[in-house]
Amino acid sequence: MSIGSCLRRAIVAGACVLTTASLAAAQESHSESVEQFYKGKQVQIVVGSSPGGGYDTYARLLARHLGDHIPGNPAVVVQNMSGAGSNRAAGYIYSVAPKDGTVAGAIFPGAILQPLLGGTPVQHEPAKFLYLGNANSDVYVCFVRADAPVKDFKDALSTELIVGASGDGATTRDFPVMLNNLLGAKFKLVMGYPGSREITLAMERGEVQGVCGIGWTGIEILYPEWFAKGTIKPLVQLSIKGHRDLHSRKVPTTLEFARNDDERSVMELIYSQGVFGRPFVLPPGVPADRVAALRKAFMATFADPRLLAEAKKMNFDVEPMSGEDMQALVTKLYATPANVVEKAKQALTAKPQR
Amino acid sequence: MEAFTAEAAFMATMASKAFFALMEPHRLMFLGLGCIMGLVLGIVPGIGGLTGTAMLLPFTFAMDPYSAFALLLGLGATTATGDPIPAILFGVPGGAASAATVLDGFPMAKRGEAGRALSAAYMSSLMGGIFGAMLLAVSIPILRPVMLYLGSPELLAFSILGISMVAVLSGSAPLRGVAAACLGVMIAMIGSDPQTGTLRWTMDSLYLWDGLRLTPLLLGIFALPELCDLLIGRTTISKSIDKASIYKGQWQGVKDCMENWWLIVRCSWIGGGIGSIPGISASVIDWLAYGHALKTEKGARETFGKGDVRGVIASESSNNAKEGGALVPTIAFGVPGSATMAILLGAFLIHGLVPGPDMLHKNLDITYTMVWSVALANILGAGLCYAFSPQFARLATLRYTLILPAVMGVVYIGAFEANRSWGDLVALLAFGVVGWLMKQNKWPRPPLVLGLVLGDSIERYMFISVERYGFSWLWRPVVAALLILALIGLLRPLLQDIRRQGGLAKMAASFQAPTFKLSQLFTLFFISVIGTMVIAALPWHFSAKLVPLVVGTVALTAAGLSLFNEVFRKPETSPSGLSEQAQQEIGRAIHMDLTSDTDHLPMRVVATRAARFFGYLIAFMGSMAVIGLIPTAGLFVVIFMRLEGQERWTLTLTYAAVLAISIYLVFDRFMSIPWPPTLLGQLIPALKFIPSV
Repeated sequence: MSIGSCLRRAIVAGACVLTTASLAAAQESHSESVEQFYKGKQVQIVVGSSPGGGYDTYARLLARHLGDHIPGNPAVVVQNMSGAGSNRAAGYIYSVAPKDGTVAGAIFPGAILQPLLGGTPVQHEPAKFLYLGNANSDVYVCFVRADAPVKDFKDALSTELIVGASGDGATTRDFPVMLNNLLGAKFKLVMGYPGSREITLAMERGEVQGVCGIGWTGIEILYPEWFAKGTIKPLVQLSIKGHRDLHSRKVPTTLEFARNDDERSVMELIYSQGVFGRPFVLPPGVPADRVAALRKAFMATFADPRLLAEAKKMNFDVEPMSGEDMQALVTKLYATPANVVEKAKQALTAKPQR
Repeated sequence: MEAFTAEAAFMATMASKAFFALMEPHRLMFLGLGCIMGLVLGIVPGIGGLTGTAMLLPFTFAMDPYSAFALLLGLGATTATGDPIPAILFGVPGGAASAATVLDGFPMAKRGEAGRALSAAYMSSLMGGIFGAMLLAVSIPILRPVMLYLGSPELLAFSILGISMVAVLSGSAPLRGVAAACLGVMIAMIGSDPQTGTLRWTMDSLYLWDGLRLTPLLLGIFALPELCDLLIGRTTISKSIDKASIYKGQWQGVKDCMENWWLIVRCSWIGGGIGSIPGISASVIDWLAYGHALKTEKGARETFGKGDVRGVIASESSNNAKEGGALVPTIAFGVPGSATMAILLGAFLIHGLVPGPDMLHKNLDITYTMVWSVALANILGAGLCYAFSPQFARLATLRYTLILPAVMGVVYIGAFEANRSWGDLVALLAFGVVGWLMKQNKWPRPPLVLGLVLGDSIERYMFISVERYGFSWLWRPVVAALLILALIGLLRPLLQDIRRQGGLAKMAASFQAPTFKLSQLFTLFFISVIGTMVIAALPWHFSAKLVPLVVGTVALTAAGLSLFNEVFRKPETSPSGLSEQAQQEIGRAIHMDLTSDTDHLPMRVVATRAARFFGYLIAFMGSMAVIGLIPTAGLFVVIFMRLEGQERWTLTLTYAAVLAISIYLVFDRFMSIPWPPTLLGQLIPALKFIPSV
């Protein structure tokens, strides 16, 4: 026998052994229990932002306690994969990450809504994700300086208000543009601020008169002087249900200004990203028993008194939504009639400003 | 007056209360712990304090605020102290703000003065850090009014003033400097445009959506060319030095800092001042301070870039002062001045502290704890560095076959850590080639970095200013003053250059029939790259293409003129007498960058060895795709050391194992980097137990 054929045989034999081994491994994974599977394993939560942001902090909060509630008590670690408004992480979870339940993702709500409304192609299909759950929801608000000519939202429909905004795809840009297009509001956008904190600083120094589309959670703690001195006040709520604190302050929601059902459904569609503020996802294809166990663990973790104590210390709102509910919500979003989606897309397209 | 005295007394009380609180042994211990971690993270190129701070954050939940900030700021303030170590020893900047240190620190190491350069770097870091903290301490009462005064037009003017440093940093090649700076600005524009959302030059890749990260670029532009030249030269970085001369050098470095204390004060105020402006990246602080020193220091124009200790001092004193500066907007407004500060902001909320007026009054003691922590961390950090310095200094005397594998492996991971994506490595490699060609062909690299970092904020704040104020913002006093300063900075070197060459008429007369050289190919390549980018930009939305087109046109003009010069300009007449020669030496501006010391080798050897170097890099990436990064690092060490240097097997294998295991511990275990999937891992999932497969 020549050396060549000998080598060939060896390779074939080796390949056979490996194939059998991996088949065996695959078989085994179906028969073992969830607890057996997770015992001694490591579960990764891939966060679609850089360390230190709100998404990262929520994910690390979850990661510190989630392991205690998953059968088999795996170690849970956080990995950061920022980029492209967390679409990169979403794409990684969707197609690259192992589908055995050892990897979950924490992505921006935009990465769930954008494929429906945005024009840029992405590598994932949000409706096919298996949703682990959602950590909190938020109500977006327009704020205005007390010395601005616009005193309430009705004024904003007739008087120009200079609002600061970040780039494309940010709520501070999308929401005022939508209100201009849909309700004929007169927001004049000054775009290009790096983030919401830079916009609020510009508002404090009078460079812009207001901002539309920043979350209500934590505002009262972060900017106590706005409310103590009344220098800056909430103008309108950009949310489907609104927040009780804001209702008690008699701040209206924009939905009250909708003139027909179309306008209402477009707003509801666009505001839906406030409902799932911090979504956690699993790749499609994770075995059902593990998905069920992880979803249960998710809810149990967010009811864990130790987590709640930490969250309270950090002033973080915890308002978990179960994976099943989240799944139903996304399915419903993606079943939105095409004409409403089209109208929403148009509403988000900026018209040239005078 | 009385109010002022009362205020000063209150500040002094709070400052001393904070100082004694920080002196508690357990708090000092946390500070020291933070310092050690900061130094370690700082030495590894590409990894700043960001990841470290994020990881430490949860551990501070249970601490009191004094201890928490001591730990976090200890780490944050000392990463910049560790940065100059690889910059000086290997020419590999340890962090974004240490790139300017390479320019003079690395030539010093080559001369055998690594000990002196390191010592000057630590000492100026220490003094810079303290001066920066002092600036912060005394400016606390005026922080908020000043910050509220600085609007987008002022930020724009600051960025323009910064970019006008290109004139100084281009040295003897102003046209190439301008062209390189423009290329930098255009690279900064890659990604989603903030105005219209147009995806500029992203070539349909998600990686480019957010634009290129600074770390892989800096490592590519500054680190890889040095490593490549090390392989081409096949020598040690520095000749052997004995222990006594290291200690002597260390003492000399300290003396250098004492003699240049006024330079340190100025540079640290530049660092602290710019670090405190939110929205302007602190990554160019080193270049701004370096440019300032170059402009103002006596004789700097002849010696900077050739191993002048003042270059090291300027760069290092400024970048350590910036952490103190970055605290300002974080404390006063909750706008983080740097990424590390964003995490610190998280720590604020956990401890029930709200950034804003309260921090400057009710919680002033905590603010002062931070000031003290930064100052003390700098002292501790420099002290630790001194303790290990002799060992570090001798690293530069090792054979290239021993230095290169580890440094290259770490550069790779440092670049990869930026985005944790293949794109980082492709960017590293591409900019490595560009950087090496620039260095070989004497194109100054600092302007490219300046353009890259400031380009984004110039575009951003120009749109905001125009959109908001029309053109009336030009008349705001601070804006006008800064713009005039920038104009003077740009024009003066130009006029000086023309005068030196005997006026425009004489310059025009110095043309001749065309001569062609190989190096002109690089200029042609440059022009074609910019040209392609400009053409690709034509169909974009008006506000998305405005800046790219303007900058592109300037780049094309500058590069075109430079090419014209190269082809048609007579070489400068050779001097006839000694005095004339000396005259010319003084008159000529220096080449503002490191020069290759491979000139003695024939072109062919340089080219084949460079190809070999970049071949190693490509092979590294290929192997990483197949078997993963950690096994590749080990394999690379073995192949490199056996092929290049025929090192002993025992040494080679130990080296490979130690490198692979340390990468595993730091990056896989501690930082848990998501490794990209490998071919082997996909084919045979059973092998996934091997880290990074």
